[in-house]
Amino acid sequence: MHISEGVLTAPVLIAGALLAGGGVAIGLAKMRPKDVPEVAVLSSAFFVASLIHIPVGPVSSHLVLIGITGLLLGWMAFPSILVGLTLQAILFQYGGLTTLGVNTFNMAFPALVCHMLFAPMVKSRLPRKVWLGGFLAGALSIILGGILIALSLAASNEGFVEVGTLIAASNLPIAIAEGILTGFCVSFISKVKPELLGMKR
Amino acid sequence: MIKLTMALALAIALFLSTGALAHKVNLFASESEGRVCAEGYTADGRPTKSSKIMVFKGGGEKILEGTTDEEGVFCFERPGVEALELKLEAGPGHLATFTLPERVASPEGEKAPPAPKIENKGDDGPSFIKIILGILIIAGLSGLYILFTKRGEGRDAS
Repeated sequence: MHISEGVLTAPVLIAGALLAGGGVAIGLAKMRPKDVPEVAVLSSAFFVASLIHIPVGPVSSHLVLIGITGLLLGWMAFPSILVGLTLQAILFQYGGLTTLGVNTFNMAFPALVCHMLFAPMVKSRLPRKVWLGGFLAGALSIILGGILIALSLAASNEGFVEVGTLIAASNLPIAIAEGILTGFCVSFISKVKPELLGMKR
Repeated sequence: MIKLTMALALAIALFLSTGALAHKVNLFASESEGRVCAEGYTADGRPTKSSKIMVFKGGGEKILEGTTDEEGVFCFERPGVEALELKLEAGPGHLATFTLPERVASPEGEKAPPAPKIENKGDDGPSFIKIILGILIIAGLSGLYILFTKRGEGRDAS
């Protein structure tokens, strides 16, 4: 999910940085001091989850956890993911500092979309509906992220169909794995700490 | 709750640090008797199979393109002596480059030294220390954010 340095053109990098900057600003404006520990924990989880790799094709894909991050944080997923990506770029050389804006937007925007689509579903009292909401958020976030990556690369003169096919093939197993994981995470949270999902006990 | 979640994050980090695999791609090339072999591999040492390698001259002109084999290797005869830039595309968004320096003519009769072998391709990957450092930085940033927000609120109240 990380786009390396030297792949994207300057207009794409600038557009990504502006979009990510806007998202981070809104996320920070919505963040209250009591939200900070939750944002920090999800940022830490995102930071380490990207280290779990599954070999797919010439490279490998990895868990991202943007579905659960989006469900729990909404707009605050932007600053949370930005911090995680910055640390990954500095400490592990994943992605890069110039691609930070594009990578942040490509991961945080799907998280936000999944929050808007599935947050009401995971507040349900029906355990199956909660699990399904989590599964769909986890899986769709990866698929949307893949589409945004393909668009970013296509805007930098790489063939959208060719790149999109490759990304879809490599991200499909991760989307399923991430969906199942997010489904179980959300089910667990709804039982032990439903307030995190915006539910009343 | 905070203690519990921090402990959970630490436990995940400890668990992952043993099995973590990096996906950064690397490219290395060497020349032996006029033949250049480029080798692509991920940070954990796995070869980047069937990946595109492009060879450029100093001015940026592409002179060659090929695909790595099952061992992540692509070999070609070196055209001329000038420096070459090699680019490896191992999947969407995964790019690695390597610059092969200009060939220095060796004295007559002296054989060029054999190309060095990459014994340990994988770097150390995400080390335990780096994972802990990252989590501590996130905790520190959170603390600073809370500190400055509360100070700002205090100032507004007074």
